[in-house]
Order: sequence, then structure tokens, then C-alpha cells
Amino acid sequence: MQINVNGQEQTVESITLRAILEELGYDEDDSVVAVNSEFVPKVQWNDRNIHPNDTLDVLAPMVGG
Amino acid sequence: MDDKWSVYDTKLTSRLFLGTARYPSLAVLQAAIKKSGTEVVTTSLRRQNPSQKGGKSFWNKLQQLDCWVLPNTAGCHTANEATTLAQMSREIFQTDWIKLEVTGDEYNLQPDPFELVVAADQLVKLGFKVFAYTTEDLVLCSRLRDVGCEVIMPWGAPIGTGKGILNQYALETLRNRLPEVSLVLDAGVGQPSHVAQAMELGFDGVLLNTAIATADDPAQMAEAMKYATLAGRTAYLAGPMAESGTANPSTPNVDLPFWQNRQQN
Repeated sequence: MQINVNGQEQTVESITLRAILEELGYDEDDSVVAVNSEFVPKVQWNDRNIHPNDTLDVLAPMVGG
Repeated sequence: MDDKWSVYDTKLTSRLFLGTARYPSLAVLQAAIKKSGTEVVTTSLRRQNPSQKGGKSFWNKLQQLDCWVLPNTAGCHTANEATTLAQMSREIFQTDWIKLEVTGDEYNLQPDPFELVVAADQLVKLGFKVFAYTTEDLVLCSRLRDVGCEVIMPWGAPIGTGKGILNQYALETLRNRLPEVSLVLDAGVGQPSHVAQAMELGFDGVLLNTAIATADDPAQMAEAMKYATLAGRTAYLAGPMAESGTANPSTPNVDLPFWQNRQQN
């Protein structure tokens, strides 16, 4: 299905959030995720199904002021 | 001088908070943090690309420095965006602290006062310890205090300008009117004298980034900022003299030599 990940259109085969992140190569330890602009805690990744056209923000620690 | 203070029940010795952005390298950032003596550093969250591991390297190095981490919500324009980003920060940085930034104007990165108060209220109710980045407006800062912000961080000038304190009267008013709040000057600092000035006004601390990161020698400038913080704070505790509109001789004005010459004239 087609989803949007960090502003890029992506085609993925997996259904759950955890499986999609693994499929796309994200490291679980460094990632936090919002789906459709709502925070999804890591404990919910296994059970959270992603749907076509959903928007994922996958963020990582960065320098900041 | 034993001058410990606390933010949200965390005891600190240093009154200098450091941003971690715009340094020429992670090694220079580490050196600056050490020289500054800071115990609190700010961080952010950004979209990541799985093929780039820059964020991991930064986070690994930062964890080795034994500092408290203060994540920010830089780049957010609404209360809901800031609340979501704060929740994401809490999970990955493992802290309830959040430097709340909600931008209302892109030209000077001025905080949006209306969204800021809504966001602060939401975050406090979610258990966050909010460090609110704000303008120097007294009523706004009072509202932030009312919704539960124990640390309020008014700007001296817009972020990254290095202009110093543009509205000293307003900052003095904040100090006088909000004595129970920890006030940390955030943004606009360019020189150590700006830091000392804030501390002399009775501010509890200063947060700065660009003034150190873009100096020719960031580690040396970090050390200068440390001493400026200490100088200003010590002066505040010492109780500065009252300003006078007229000159007063510091040398005693009695038994002056050559007095007879002046009498003859």
C-alpha cells in the first residue's frame, strides 16, 4: 500500500507499524513515531495497523537550541 | 560560593544552559559543554533517514556527558503540534522536561503567545515539567505561571541575533512581579556581558547557543560565558550600588590639599 513517511511517498507490504518500520530500515532504539500527527508509543507498535495514505513521522534525536 | 538552585526539584550548580546546535563538530560541542560547566543541554527531534546515522552518533555522545537533557519543540506552530512532539521527546529522551517553543512569526521566530499558553496548559496536565520560551510580556508570563510553568524563559532578543537584552525594563519587571518563578534568559545573547547583565537583573539562569557555537573558538567562549554567569550572579547577590544622576567623589572630600588656592580665587 501507499503511505507517506517523513514527507516521502512509500510503498510497503507490511501492515503493522512495527513491521513497516522494520521493512523501511528504521532502528527501533532511535525512533519515535507519530501517525497522522498523533504520537504512537512504542508499546503500541505491534498492535497499530497502518492504512493506505496514512502519514508517518519517524523522528530521531538531533542537536537543538 | 555555594549557590545551588533547583528547577522542578532537580538541584543544579551551574546557571548556564547550553544549546547543542550549529557547532562545527560534535567534538567541539563536547569541548564547549565541558568548558562551560553546564549541567543542562537542549536537544530536538527531527525526521530521520534510515541511511543516515547522524542522530544516533549525536545522542550517543551526549549521553556520555552526564548532563540533564532538555528537549525542545522548535519548529512547532500550534499547541497540538508542540504537545505531540513533547510526547515523542519524552519517550526517546526519557525525561518529563520540555522546552516549549511555539513559533508565531517566521521572520523573527517570535513565540505565539496564544498557542503557547494552550500548549503549556496541555503539557502540564500530561505531567510535563515545562520550560516555556516566551517573549518578555508580563501578562503572558503570568498566564504561563498560572497554568503551572515553574520555569519561564523570556527572550533577550530574537533567536540567533546576538543583540543582547533589548528590553531591560520588561525583564526587570518580570523579576519583580514573578519572584516565585525561575527566570532563565533564552535567546538573543551575543556577548558574555549580555549574560552578566541578565544575571545582575536577578535572573536565575541563561540559556544560549549561537553565541558559543559560532565563536571562532567555541570552547573558549563557553568558558567566558561561564565566568560571565558567575560574575553577574555574584554581583546580584552582593547588592549593586544605587545609580546616581550626579557625580560623587570616591576619594574623601575633607582636608583637601591646595584648598587655600581655591579660596584665593
